[in-house]
Amino acid sequence: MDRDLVERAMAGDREAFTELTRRSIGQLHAVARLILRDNERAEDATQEALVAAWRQLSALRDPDRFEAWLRRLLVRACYREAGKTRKQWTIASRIGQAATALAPLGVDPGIAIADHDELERAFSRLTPDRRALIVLHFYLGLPLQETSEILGIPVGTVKSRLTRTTMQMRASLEADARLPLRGETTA
Amino acid sequence: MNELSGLDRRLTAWLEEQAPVREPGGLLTVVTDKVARTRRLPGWLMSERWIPMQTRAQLGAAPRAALVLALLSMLILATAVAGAIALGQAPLPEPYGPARNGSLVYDEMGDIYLADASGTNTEAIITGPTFDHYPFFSHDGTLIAFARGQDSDLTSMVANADGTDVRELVPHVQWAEFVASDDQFVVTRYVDGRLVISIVDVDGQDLHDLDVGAIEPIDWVQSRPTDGAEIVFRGHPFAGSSALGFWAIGTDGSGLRQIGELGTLEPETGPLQDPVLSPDGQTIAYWSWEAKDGGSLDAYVHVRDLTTGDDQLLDLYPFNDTGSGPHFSPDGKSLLYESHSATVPDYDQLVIAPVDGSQPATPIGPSFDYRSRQSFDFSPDGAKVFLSQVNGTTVIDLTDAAATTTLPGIRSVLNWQRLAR
Repeated sequence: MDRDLVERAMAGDREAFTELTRRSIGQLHAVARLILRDNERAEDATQEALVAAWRQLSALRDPDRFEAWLRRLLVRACYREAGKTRKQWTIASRIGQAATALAPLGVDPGIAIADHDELERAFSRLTPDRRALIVLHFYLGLPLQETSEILGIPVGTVKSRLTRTTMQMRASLEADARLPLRGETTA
Repeated sequence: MNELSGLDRRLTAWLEEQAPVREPGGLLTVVTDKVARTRRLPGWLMSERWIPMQTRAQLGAAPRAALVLALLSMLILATAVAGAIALGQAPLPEPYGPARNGSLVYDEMGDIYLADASGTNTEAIITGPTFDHYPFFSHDGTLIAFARGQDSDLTSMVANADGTDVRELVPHVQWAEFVASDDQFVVTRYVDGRLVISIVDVDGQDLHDLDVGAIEPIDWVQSRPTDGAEIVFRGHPFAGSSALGFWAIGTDGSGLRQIGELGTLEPETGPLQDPVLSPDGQTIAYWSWEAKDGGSLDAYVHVRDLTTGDDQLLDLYPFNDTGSGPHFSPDGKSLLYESHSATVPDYDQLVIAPVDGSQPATPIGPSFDYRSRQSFDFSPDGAKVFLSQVNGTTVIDLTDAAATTTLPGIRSVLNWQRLAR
């Protein structure tokens, strides 16, 4: 991100902030869409994060951290947006937990044959905070330290949760793969 | 993580396919219009603080200090003059070991507050346009240190325990701590872009750096109990090294020595995390992200002898996958750390384990959302544990496991004053 633009925006230059917004809004919205799995709520979260950034920009001391700071605001906005449907989270979480219980850890569940629909289901079963973790690390490609700072948790916890979340997804994929077999048995 | 690399690659490709970066139609206009109608907030009003997670944890976990507590609370309720007199006359606790529980200090919206041990009778003691946060007591409880400023440029400040006589100590600090005698302050601070270890008198005089040769300190530094003759710190053996280790150096700059073996920072390992010294000054506890016995990666608590460097991995809990801690109990016999909840999915749990490994760890208090956790530690008397979260603090009585909420709504890291027993 252009440091000069950030410094001008920090000094109160609305045009500079508009330019920063124009450059970042596409990626912010994409991240929010992945975390929230809903286009309209992603737009709300993106809007909230950018307006909060403008309001609070004087709290940012290091212009070079603008991008990370903005992502942190976005993740928090996504959490708040997702919190409006907390009940759905809980259900999703329980599904994910049940899938984890089925997972024989360390066994390759045949990821190679997982198709897009299966990945979609496995990803959707994650809670928004776990999706945020996955998106920051695997979609944006952020290193653990930056992911840690954006999510506000220690690096060790990021590692731990990444491991457990990918295990949960793997278990979910495996559970999906077992469903036809169960159907045949029942029949 | 290696065994999941197939899923990692597939996931990345799928995510990129799912969410190509493009400007959502009309949203830029909506945001621009809204920004045009939105006023900026002054910096000192920010509740949103951008501070690296490690710095927050370090400052929050920093000191556990000492002195006049219940007495101070009563004095606050009485008069400031009477309080000051009584403070001056009160006996001081030993700098380490169990003490009586005193007042709580915390920050809120850039000001510093005191509350009594039950979280009532709150009083703002340091206010004004400056942004002040992360307060903690000296070992003897007569002083309060705090950070002034925001983000990556913090200045160490000190005041009397009642908030009077505020004075600036050191700018550009990363970590700050009272030495054992409480008449000096040790910090890591930025000088010409690199961290150095410095000592300064608590009146702000005689700031001087310790020469640690090629070693590059990275953050944490602590005065070694119980006499404070050594400063223990963490760093790299030289700039740019991926190795990480503990060192000690005399407060007079002599006797620089390495403590035990170096760890290595790799993509899959995180050694020597959250170090803390035992109250008797004999050991250092920390956790490392590592694979034990060739098994899966997890977080494990270690204790290292500060004299010999001998390192012991503690097998404390069947699921000791932790993201924060450990903390020694005031008597040095137990360790408190954060683990995963055994009962609530995706939540965390505090546990206490004996340092000698003679008993399994015991879960204490409620499960909690790790994202809301600010800090946790023992009370000075060791009979309670407090867990600070963004929505308040839970105090857990270790005698009957009763958990009570105090200071609801306060988004702050608490520190508990120590009083003479």
